[in-house]
Amino acid sequence: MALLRDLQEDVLSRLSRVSVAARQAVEHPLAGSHRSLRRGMSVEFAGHRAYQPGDDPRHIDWQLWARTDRLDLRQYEEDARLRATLAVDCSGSMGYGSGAKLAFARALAGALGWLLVRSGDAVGLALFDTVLRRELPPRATMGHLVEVLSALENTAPGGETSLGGVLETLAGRLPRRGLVVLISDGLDEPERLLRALRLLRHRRQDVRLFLIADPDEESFPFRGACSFHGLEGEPQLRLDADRARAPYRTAFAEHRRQLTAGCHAAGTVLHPCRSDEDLALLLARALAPARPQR
Amino acid sequence: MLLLNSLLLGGMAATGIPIAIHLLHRARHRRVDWGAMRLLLAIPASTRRRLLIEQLLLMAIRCLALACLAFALTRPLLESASVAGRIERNGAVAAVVLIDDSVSTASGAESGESRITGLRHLATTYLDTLRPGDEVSVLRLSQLAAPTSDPLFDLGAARRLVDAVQPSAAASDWPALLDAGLAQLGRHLNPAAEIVLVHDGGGGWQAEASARWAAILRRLRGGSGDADGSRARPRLVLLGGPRPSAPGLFWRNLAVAGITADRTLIPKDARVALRVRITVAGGRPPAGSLLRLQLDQRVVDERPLSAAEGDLELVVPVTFPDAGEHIVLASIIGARDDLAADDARSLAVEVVDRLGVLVIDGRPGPGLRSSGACAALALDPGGREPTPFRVERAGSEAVTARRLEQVRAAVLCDVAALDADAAADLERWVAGGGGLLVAVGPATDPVHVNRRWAREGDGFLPATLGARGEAERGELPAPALPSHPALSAFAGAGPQAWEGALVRTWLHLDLPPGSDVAVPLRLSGGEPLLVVRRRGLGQSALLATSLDPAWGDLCLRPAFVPLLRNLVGHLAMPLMPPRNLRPGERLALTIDGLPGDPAAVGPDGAVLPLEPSTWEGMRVAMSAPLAVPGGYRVRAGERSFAFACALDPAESLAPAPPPADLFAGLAMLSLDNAQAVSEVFSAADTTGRELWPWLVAAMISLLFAETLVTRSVHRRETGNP
Repeated sequence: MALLRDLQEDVLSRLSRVSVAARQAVEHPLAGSHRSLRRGMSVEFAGHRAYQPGDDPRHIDWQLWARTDRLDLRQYEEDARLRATLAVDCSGSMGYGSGAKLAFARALAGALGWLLVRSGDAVGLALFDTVLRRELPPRATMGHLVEVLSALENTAPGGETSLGGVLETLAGRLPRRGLVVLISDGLDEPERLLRALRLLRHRRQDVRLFLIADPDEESFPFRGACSFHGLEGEPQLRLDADRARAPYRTAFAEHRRQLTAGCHAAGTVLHPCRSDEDLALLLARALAPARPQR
Repeated sequence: MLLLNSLLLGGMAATGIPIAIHLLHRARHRRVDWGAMRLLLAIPASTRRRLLIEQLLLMAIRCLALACLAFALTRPLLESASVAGRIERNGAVAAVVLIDDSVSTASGAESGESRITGLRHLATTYLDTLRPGDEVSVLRLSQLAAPTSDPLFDLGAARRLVDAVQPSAAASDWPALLDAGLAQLGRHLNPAAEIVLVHDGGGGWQAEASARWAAILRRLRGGSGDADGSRARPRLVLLGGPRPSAPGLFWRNLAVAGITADRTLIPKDARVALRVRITVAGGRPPAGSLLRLQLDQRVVDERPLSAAEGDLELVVPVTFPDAGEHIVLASIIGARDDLAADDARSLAVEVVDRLGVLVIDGRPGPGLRSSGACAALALDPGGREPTPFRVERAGSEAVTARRLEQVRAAVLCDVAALDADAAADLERWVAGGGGLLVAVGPATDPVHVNRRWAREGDGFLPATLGARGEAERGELPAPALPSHPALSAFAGAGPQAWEGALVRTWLHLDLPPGSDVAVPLRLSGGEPLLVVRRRGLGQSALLATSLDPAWGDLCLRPAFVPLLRNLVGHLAMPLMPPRNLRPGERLALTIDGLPGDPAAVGPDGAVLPLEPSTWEGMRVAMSAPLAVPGGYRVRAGERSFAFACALDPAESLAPAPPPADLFAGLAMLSLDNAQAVSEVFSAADTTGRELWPWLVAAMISLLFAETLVTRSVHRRETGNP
């Protein structure tokens, strides 16, 4: 399980050291805004876990402390669990930069899955390009997480992007309430994508869109005459890169602006990110509690 | 449209550089596997089209800028309609202006404007057709002997040179001018070579100088073998001359065309006939005009010129009372003609006291049966009329060095043989300046003569004796070299002068091949009769027949005496620089044995500087080329020497037409013959407009536009305002 190992060595271990606030950031948004699985004072005892600074001392099992001299917290199983679905775009465009975007998407999805499962929430997975390649229903067990990570690790980029159609299909299969984390480069018709997002919202899904871009896709660093070959079967295009840079950047910015505006209108949280970005910092920033609105 | 630097037209190929770069650029498309193709394809087609148009526009601007630069370098000239058909100049001009400032250019003064003024105007007008950057050399006929200078780029300086041109005393000589012009052309750098000969129509073709013309034609034709063969063939322009409607070169001209004496050696107190030849062109001599003859500035004769039209020859008897060198001046008084320079002519003559002549009689006999007797009688008959010869008659035993030192000439008459010492003395004496005449006869032993005296051309005899030739009815002598001094008494006399002088027996003369032997006389059958050759400082002559009646009647006829006297007188004259010169030649005087430093005075009284030099191996005092015709006096201590500088008589005559074949040959080599500059050339300010400043301005504008477009594109690419 290379992906999990890499995540633990790289992201998760760093994420655990980021700060208490960061860890809370992972938990609180997921817990606070959703009906997520929480260890708390509920009807049924679920188990102990080691006390960590920042935990509410009211949940410390003092009896156990008296017997064993260990500070453990009592945990209870709540009635409702959060059902999160990680929808990862595996289209050809995600393979740009020797698959850097897809690798980043895999890491991001794996980290989120791990955090969610660790929090006791159920995590499902949907890998897609023009169609749903693979779908795993949400479960909250570590075994299921391993299966999710394995599916992520084994996926490869290919096919065209058709976010709108796939998400519409996915919306029909999801439970009525849940969290959909969409990880994609968003290189589809903005209108189709936003229509699908609105449909998900209509199905009472909480949607977070991680929009991944390669640094080259932002800066368009090519020079001179270039022959552009699409990764999703688009026709070849010959351009003077120097001359095409400005209009490309304009088109890129317009695409982003449309998605940003559409996501805001649809009540979807948009997280633009780059494939060379520090994943832990991205997660810390993305999972930080929203500032109160004044 | 005319391209002044057409060779640079190849620079237009640079126009293809931006296109080549564009094509090369297109051929090197880098492959990029791109994910966000949707965004690239989202760039509007109009934008993509605009990018392509911008690209093509920039390429076109760069191509045009390079084309403008390349075209400007070719210096295009927009010709005006008035210059069509005239000489087309490709590139900067290397012009050599040859000015024929010969004697005839001084003519025309009486009609208001001398021809030299017209020549200067022609040359200046031609210079006006040149532009800055053209180089020009101005060569004058009268100064061809002077060191040449580098070509001028300063056209103003060239105009000043032309303005300074004055008529000279030089005789027109176009081959010499063209030869100098071609040599000067080698010092020019500009590609378009032009040789412009500005003349007054006086003629100077020198048609007889066929070898010189052949060399000039060869050089004009050019070729890799020539020193200036790398240059394009020069254009030759003959500029000037009277208009076809003009009456002629002179409206009237009287000239003293020549003065000759009837003998080479003029004895003191002898009556000498001076022949003065007067040419009359364009009309009769005016009434009251007369010929004046002066001897050392003393008038000795004066006679009116006849009113008849045509050439005149006046014979003036003159007696020279003193031995020495004298100047005879013949001048026409009251000529009132077109050309004053040729109204007078000088002649330098040497009057001798008496020359010692040793006559060696090889076959003595009574009366005229002896060859020596005939010779002695002809040279000094002993009458009342003095002769310049003091004759000593002796046998062959008298040929000794001591005896020879006392005479200036010796005549060997039918001498069979000389002993070795006598022959050696004779040879040394000739080499030291003596004059020897050998006349063969019945007693002559050809074997001995050939072995001892001729030695196959190495001896003192000018030719080898061959077999005896005979003609029963005899053959007459015929001058083969009329200008030879030995025949000066027969100048213009015609064949009747030799009437009855039949030669019946003679010895065939074999001339050494390639030798400097002159043959003044031949027999009517073509056999050489008299040959002369210079040996050292002296001369020797060989007569192929006898001086007595044994082999012919020559000695019995009137031609015999002047022939023998002139021949012996010529042989007796020591080798010395010529006394009668032409303008442009240098006065030279041998200085060995002179009592003091020589000082020369010209006809105008001006002192003529003399510089040490050499002539024929002798040390001489030499002047600069003579420019003023007339008599010159050189004094050294008590001694006085006379020189005369006389014009070429051809300058006084109507010009001869150019030889047809020569003219045709020149015409094939891009010859232009015109009376006015405007017929051939266009003035610089009317040849059209040079376009290069406009092209450079267009190129700068295009570069500015290119900068603007590039910056605009760059701003759009980078997003910077």
